[in-house]
Amino acid sequence: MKMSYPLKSKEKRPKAGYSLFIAVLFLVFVAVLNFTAPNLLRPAAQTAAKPFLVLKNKTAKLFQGFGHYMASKRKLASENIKLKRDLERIYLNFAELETLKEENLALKEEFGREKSGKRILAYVLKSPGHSPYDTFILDTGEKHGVKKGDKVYLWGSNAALGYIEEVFFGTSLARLYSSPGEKMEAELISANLIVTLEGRGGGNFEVKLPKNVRVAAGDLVGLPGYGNPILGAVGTVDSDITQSLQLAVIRSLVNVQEIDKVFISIKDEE
Amino acid sequence: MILLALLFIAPWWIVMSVAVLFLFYFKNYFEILIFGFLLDLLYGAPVSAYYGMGYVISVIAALAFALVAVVKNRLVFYD
Repeated sequence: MKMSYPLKSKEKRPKAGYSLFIAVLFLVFVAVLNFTAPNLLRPAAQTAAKPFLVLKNKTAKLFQGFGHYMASKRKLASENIKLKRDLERIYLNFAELETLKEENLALKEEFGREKSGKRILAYVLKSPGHSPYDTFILDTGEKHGVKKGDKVYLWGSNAALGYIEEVFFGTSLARLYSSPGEKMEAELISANLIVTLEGRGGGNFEVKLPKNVRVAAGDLVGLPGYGNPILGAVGTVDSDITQSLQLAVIRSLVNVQEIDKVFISIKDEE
Repeated sequence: MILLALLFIAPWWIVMSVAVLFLFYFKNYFEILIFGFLLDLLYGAPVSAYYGMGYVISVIAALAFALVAVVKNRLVFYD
């Protein structure tokens, strides 16, 4: 008896049309969601993800020092000496800084410029490098008094990082000022000049300046106004002889991907 | 499970790269759409550079899903 079998290729070849249909259907769903109710499902996703993100952070902390077991004794000893010297130098600077800080506060109080509002500590559950939006998840939310638009600073410093984009019950989504395409006013402190920065992502900004503005690598850029919270420092300046403008790239003073603690400056109720 | 774990510990581009590999490995890997959408739900915010879209990764996932389906359909390897 003669038997015939169908060709293997004919039954296994995937149907592209079906996948295309699914992809288009999905795109339509996403577009409708984006333009009608973009935050409809976000609170539920944030609430569900929080325990996993907290667990991930705690586990990561357990294994943080694991690599040190592999370092050589000599290397560790030399690093220890270097760190001790650095610490001595920092203590000296710190003592001076504390005196200046007290003096500064006293002067501000005298001129009626004491800070209003409160600051709360927030831990970063997921750092900015993990999304293309330059956003990061914080473990504080509506129940802690966080509001949309509150400013986010690096813990223990005067470095401005971003602002609260969305607030959920127990978490909040903060956006870096350097988010791609984001434009903001800032002050080039050395030149006392207000400039418009454009975000390039990952803690980097760029600014176009007239050529007669003196700008050099290391010049600080801060938020305009009271206290000038620092945004970053000028990294490179690209000055093309054929152009009337110069392009300065500003880099954040901290590695935004390694931030683990921030404080949120909560605005007073109007 | 691998992708679900990566979602919480790895940057978005690692999650999507692994998902694209899985697209080639598995016959119909619809999960890429779900993971792209989950990434957007967690980190998404309207970005002016992306024309105000807050679901960019979902769009990338859908495009990758369609493109890989077309490529797989034309490769002799998948016959």
